[in-house]
Amino acid sequence: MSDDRKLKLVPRPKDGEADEPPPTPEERAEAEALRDALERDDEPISGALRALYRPKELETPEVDALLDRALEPSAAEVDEDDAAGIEGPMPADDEELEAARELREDLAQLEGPRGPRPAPVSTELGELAEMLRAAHDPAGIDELRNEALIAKALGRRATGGHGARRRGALGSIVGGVVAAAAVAAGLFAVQFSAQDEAPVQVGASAASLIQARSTTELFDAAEPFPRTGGTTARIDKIARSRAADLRQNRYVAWGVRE
Amino acid sequence: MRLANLEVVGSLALVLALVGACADMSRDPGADATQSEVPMCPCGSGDAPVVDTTLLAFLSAARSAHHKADLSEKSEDTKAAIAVLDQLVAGPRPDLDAPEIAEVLADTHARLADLRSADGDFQSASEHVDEGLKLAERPTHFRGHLFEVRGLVEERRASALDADGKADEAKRARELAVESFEKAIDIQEQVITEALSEVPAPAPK
Repeated sequence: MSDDRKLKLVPRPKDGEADEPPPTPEERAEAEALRDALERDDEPISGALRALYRPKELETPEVDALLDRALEPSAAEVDEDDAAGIEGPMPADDEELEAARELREDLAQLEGPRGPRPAPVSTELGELAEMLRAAHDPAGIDELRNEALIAKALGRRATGGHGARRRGALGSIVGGVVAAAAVAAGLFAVQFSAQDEAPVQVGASAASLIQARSTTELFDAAEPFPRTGGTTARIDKIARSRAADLRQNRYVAWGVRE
Repeated sequence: MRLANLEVVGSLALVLALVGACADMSRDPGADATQSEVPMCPCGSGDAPVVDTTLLAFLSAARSAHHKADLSEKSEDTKAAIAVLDQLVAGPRPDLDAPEIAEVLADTHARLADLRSADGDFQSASEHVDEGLKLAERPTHFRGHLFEVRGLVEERRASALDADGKADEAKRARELAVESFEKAIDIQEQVITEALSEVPAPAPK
């Protein structure tokens, strides 16, 4: 699709139906304040998105301080140990040893090769470690699953269209300004793929849907494949190309007008 | 931009950003990339199927298999790499007459032939080349690559035969290797010729 074509995801209001009222002076003031906060880097949502996309490294003293605070015993625990005449850390009991073993196995799972599904961890701390790994270094999303998420988002917006328009314009202005930061993070983080979980209206003519075809067009005719290697890169290219075709076919089937 | 559209774009952009950061955090062990409601009519104009979720499911599975094979090769575990690719070529495939499926499987057979011959299993390697050639019948890079891999397999076989003192058989293997490489070159020339024939000639001045 060319850049100057716009997709109308929300139908125009019918004749006689009132359009969005213009923003009030209060709403304009709120939007202005939000714009200033974004410029000062003082807006929490965009700040959180920016930290998610480009987290700052913690300095070693800060990491050490966090670990010390987490590992040091509480005042109550110190009093208990003093009362019992205990000096220094106690040896771990069987329950603690078993929990440590399970956590060790979970961490070993996370060190293994990453697959399309989350690692099969069994402890809460293992789940937390997995979430931290995903936040720091997210794995590529499966193409089908990504398509399903997009389909859900578009499907929910389509059915809530009238209610959305009747909400105050303030939410729209705020959403639009935050969208600028969200789009930047989303474009770099997401690999599009397709998994069908939402019903799709079959309303497009068959002739306008992209058909399956040879993938030779994706490769330079003058450059033969290398004798060894390169297979994964070729299949990646084929999958990406057809994922884009699937998205286009979905837009056509949903009747999204350009 | 209209305010209603800002809201839609804002919501969608937030969903995309969160999805990108939490790509594998959600747990859905029961879901399978190949299960779908298949809502779209698989019919396009003519006989070719359209690009749909079933095709994408297969391509995603193929992509994952090759990435797993890469990791196994990096760990120098050739057998694990061969096993995961064997599952792909022997496993279920969509009941679609889609050229993409044939070409991906042909390329997978070529890779398996390379891995098996490097492991000394020349018989299996030759069989993989034959299976791949059945899938890539048109003169494309995929077919040319299979002939190159056949040449590579025969080169490796010749080296092994030389090491075993079987000079005559090694000679025959080398001759087969040369024939295969020449065939690969012929196919490459056909690919270029076809590509050039699709380019419209410049208009006469």
